[in-house]
Amino acid sequence: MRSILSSLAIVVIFCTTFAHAEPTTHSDDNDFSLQWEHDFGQVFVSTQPITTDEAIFLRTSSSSLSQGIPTVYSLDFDGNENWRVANTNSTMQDMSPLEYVKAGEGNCGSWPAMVLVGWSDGLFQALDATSGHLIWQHQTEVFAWGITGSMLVEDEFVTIPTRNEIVQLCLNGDLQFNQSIGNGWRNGITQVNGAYWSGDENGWLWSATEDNISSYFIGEGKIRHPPIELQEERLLIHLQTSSGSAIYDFNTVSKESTIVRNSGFSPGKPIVVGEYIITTDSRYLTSILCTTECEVVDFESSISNGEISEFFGDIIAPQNTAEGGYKIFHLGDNGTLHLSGTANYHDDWYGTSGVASWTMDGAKHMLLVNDNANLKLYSTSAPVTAEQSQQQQADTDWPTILAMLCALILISTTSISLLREKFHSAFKFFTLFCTVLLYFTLGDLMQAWSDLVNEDAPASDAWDNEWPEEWMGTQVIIFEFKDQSIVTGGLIGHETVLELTKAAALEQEIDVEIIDSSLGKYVVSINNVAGEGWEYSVNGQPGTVSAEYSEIQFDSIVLWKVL
Amino acid sequence: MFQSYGIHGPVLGPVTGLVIDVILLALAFWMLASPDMKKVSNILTFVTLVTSISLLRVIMVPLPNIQPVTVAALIIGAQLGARRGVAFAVLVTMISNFIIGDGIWTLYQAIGWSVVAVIGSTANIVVDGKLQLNKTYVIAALSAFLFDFIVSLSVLGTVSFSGFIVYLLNGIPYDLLHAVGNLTVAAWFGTWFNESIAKFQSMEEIEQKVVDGYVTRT
Repeated sequence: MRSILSSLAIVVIFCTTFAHAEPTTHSDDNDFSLQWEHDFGQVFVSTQPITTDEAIFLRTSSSSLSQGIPTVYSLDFDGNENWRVANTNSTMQDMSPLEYVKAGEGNCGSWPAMVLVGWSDGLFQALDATSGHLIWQHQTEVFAWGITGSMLVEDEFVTIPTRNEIVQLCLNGDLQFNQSIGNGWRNGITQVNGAYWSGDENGWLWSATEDNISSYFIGEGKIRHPPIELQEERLLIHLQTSSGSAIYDFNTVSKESTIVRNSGFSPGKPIVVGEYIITTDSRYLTSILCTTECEVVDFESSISNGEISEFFGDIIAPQNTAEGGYKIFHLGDNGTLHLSGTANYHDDWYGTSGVASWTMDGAKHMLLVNDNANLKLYSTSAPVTAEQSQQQQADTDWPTILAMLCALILISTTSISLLREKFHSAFKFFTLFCTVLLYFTLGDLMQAWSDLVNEDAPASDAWDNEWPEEWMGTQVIIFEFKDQSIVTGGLIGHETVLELTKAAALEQEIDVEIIDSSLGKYVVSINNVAGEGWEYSVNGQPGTVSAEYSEIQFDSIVLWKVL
Repeated sequence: MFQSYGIHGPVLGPVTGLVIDVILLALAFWMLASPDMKKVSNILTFVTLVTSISLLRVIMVPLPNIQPVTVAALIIGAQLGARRGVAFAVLVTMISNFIIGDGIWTLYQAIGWSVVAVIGSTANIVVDGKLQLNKTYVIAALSAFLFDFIVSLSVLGTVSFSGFIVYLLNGIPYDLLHAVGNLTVAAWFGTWFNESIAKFQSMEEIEQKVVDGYVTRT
């Protein structure tokens, strides 16, 4: 008997201790959690979203209007749309990455913060980053399609690779020059020593200045990325060939090219990470070191044909397969590559868009999107700062901690009394323990019980058609006095009637007097009107518990009525 | 008080409220009208009981539905009899609600605790001056549910029958807390409280003494 009681006592003590353990902070926690997702429909997203301090910008593309209209979006960091600009003529797969330009001025004049957009119908637009309003636009020549490659923004100029031209505009929209080149696709521009270099679909590398145009044959194949600038005025080219791909080192002075390595099919856009160049294709992710000559340092298996990105010190490569997902590689100090992880999500599919990642206030964030056009923001929790830590300590709920300590002592005493076979004493401590436990869990208990026994009425039952439409789907609260009503809508995120009441009172700058009662918080008066008391209803259903314990939904309509 | 919880009893006008108060007060004094109450010490003891329990109830308002009055009414009913138990219940309800908040619920609370006192007087929880703890625990716990049910009747007339059932169901956690609170009060203070008022003779004892004295003289 004693051993059973001892075991029971130990179990109860441990249960009590752990049931009230405080959650710990995760300052080193790198686990990303989904913050929101935004589905853009049946269109594609082939380019990396870009971010500023204020907004996220992203473009969609399609090959027919029945699939969807190609559109540029601006979103806030909660996933809400700020603005959108569509182009019904641009149905040749928009793959030209967006560029953000800060407000500035130069010899050409001044310009506000802009998002630069090259469309596949040849239209080049500068959109106001805040409003999406058109600031200026320039129509480039179209040969089957228009702009599909990466533009280059320098100082007060933007240089654009079109289907068969290199066009330079001032950031106020004035044309600086244009030069004809071979037909390109998803090409890109790199500036070396005053000349603008871009490849075409026949393996030629073009060099353009305002006054001159020249071309150099690299090899049989297609150049579909901006060349990578190396030391000593050299360029690295990843040429797509009929048998796979070939990586070349091209000297812009001697005009000679040297093959570095043959690799897989459909190369993507190489990037520079530190002193290494990382190339990607359907077979490998390759690390190359280029000093006086280029040499392959390491390579890892990967199928990535679009944009690869730096990712908090690593490299992330979207896998362009039906299974999709991402491979994350760590680049060692000596240029070696190591697969450090894979990331998979519910909507994995083919994808070529790079991953936008940034750190803000200590929290890491990343934007993921693939050909399913479902943009997702994942974030880690922010580390706790010293100030926050102090605030947390100040916010420590000492009464609850003390109460829990008392409960622990009480149940321990109960157990000891049981062991000593002082049953009446044990009962006394046990009842006290139960009372303390019930007292501190009553709120949760009431809410859980209320959910169980009450049927939720739909918010539409209490909706007033005279209210603004933007209130729909938000929390609305009405204070109904004898002679007037005060209605507050558009509130979000409140979990109980009392929380919502306090928030609305704060917004309306009215006083709500609340006292403790034996059945929970009691609203004595609203706006200094007590009447015979106040009663509330949620979606037309009378409240049956204290407002403190009455849980509400995201679209609940609460009515407080004076008696 | 129930207004804040959505469902409420009928709103009383000032005259109706006054009439209820007068009736309750008259009931209390009628219950107290007995020979032993002519003794100043008994009166003082009773006033002390009523005042202290009323004060205790006011102090314990922030604790949700922990009602020391229920156990006190039970033991006073057992020790002093039904009449003084009812008087105690009515007076404590009126005095404490005067501070906490008065309304139609005062009537139902007075009735509820009066019923508890009557149960105490008939349940034989005090035998030879000693509190029968196990029996007291059971009755104290059940009294919580009974009292809360009686008080809940105050909303009848303002809600449908189905609404009343939902109202009762929603109150079960409160009832549970009341019952556990009663057990705690009975376990910790029951014996002490019983012994404290043991010297205060019950109506039945007074009657017995009167009868015994009459028989002795004759």
